Amino acid sequence: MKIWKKFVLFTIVIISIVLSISRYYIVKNNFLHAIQNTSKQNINQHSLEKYMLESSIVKGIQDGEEITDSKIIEYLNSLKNYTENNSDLVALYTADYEQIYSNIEDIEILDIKTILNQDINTYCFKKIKNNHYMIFISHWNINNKTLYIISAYNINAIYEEKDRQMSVILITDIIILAVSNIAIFIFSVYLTNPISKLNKTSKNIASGRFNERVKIKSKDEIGELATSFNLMAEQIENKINELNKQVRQKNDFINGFTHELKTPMTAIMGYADLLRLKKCDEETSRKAIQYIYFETKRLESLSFKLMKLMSLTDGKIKMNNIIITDFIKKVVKAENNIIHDIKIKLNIEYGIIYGDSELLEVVIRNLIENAIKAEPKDNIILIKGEKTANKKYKISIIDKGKGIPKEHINRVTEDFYMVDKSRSREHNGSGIGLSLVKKILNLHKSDINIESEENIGTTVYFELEEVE
Amino acid sequence: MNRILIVEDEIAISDLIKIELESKGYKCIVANDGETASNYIEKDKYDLILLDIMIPKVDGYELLKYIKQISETPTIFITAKNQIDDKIKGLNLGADDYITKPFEIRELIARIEAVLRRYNKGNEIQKIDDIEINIVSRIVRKNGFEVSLTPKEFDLLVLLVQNKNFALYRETIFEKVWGEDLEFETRTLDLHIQRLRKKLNLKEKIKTVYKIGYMLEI
Repeated sequence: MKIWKKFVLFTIVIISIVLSISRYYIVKNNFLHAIQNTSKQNINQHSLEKYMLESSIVKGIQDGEEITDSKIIEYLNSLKNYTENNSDLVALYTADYEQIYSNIEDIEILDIKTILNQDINTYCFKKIKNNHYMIFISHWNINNKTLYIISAYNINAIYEEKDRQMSVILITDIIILAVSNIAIFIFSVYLTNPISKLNKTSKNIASGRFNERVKIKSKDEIGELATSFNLMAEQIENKINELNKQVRQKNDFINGFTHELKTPMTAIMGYADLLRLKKCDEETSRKAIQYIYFETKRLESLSFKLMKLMSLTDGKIKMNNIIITDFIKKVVKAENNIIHDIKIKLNIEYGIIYGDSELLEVVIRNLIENAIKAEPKDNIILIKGEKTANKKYKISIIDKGKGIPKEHINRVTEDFYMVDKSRSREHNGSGIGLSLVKKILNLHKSDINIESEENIGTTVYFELEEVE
Repeated sequence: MNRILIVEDEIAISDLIKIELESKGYKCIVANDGETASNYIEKDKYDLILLDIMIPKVDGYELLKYIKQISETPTIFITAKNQIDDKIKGLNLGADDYITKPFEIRELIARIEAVLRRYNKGNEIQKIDDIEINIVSRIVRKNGFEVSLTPKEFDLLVLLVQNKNFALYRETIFEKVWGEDLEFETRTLDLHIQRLRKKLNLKEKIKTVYKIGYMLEI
């Protein structure tokens, strides 16, 4: 059941109960009050009627008249001319319940008996032919003869008043119920609207749209709930994005790794099979052996980098003091044996740093190789080393090569990420170098910084802890 | 002679495919990137294109779309990715078949032959002098008369024919015909060679190469 229905139902029940109880007491009270007033009036009237009839009869006896039933009726009728507010109906009985006169129809002997058995001077109610009557009864003795006089007063007006009050109350109650229900409906819709918004948003989030948020700006509990909900959605979105990124990186790693592994393997397998099966001519055999050799080298280099990468995840490194000038010269000398066209210029300030020399060699060699791949226009790679103000030592590798497109800079340190996959492979690149560099530097509590502009050049730098 | 365009940026692999295919009598042209390949395709007609997906300049899928727009040249793509999606993408773009790296060159050749057969370009029937070999129905005729060969004799004959004028090592012949699991028995091989020579009158053509093995010389 919807909340607004519950609200409306609840209000109907509560208001109806409260209204009917209060109405019942009001109407009852009014009614009793009216009855009381009327009975006071009527009892006086009844006494007056009795007294006058009695005095008429006494006067008749004094005048020496014979008191017969017809004479009493005559007195009774003449009485009506003297008094106002006569009882509407009247009856006379003897002590033996013998009716002398009655204009009360449908009143039976039994009724009379029950009425007479009541306390004298009280009254009772009787409904005769759709009319309500208040009935009074009195008796007196004249000449050893007991006479009962019964007066009935029409009190329809009181009942009519009660009915009128009831109908007025009914109408007002219906109006009150309707108005309060409409109000409650509007209020509950106003109240539950944010809840249905929340509901809709959570369904959207559940169906995978993690960037959905609720827009509720009330300062009550629901507003607080919405704020917490948004906070939760934010956290979930972040987590999901992070997981997705991890999955993508893992996938990329596997894809990259597969590709880097499968290409040389295909070549090695193919040439080996060729040599194994056929007696090839000298030239072909030589070519095949060359290919097998170089592709194996490629696999070896890949496996070396991978092993380094994996060993780094253990986080075990051998830290030592390194004299930076000697260290870089040694690395560059080894590198110079491999490359021909490109000159490496050094501008190194003397300093001692604290780090793992084996790993830092991997870093610098990788960065030099990358600079070579960038094909610097002046064929020069500059390596700069300088002390910084905050007791660090900064090493920069600068080339004037083709640069890295802006959109790729943030991703080049991901595993197997290649800006131009096909080009990179022309240089035997595997896309794993920079990710290795980043991981090594992170172990030195440092990080790789890349500043690059397309067709102008690239500067890669990092800072290491200096030993005084 | 069937002309095959090899689009592959790894020179080691393109060279390998070229050596193998040329020994089987195909004419091979190599393009090392997508741009060169599209120029070649524009200028010349080829019987089949062998296409690596990861190539420089123009991506293999793009090239495939281009090939299918301008010609109906059968195409086999080479991919290092083992992902179903990549294979489906290639096949949906109109490629006739695919092969994933690392592949054995024999498998590649079998796929090339299968695709060519489908386009009725294949050398289903190979001829050496008066001998006709139908590779599909595995029927051999000499002078038009059917010669009955055992399955192993037939496989041996096909291997020799496909590598004609190359000396094949005994061990590898045995391995290719009888399978890698069986232990090499030189007598079994020698016996089958003798029977082939006799049945098809190839005494002169199937030569014994000293210390190496056998060679079909045409």
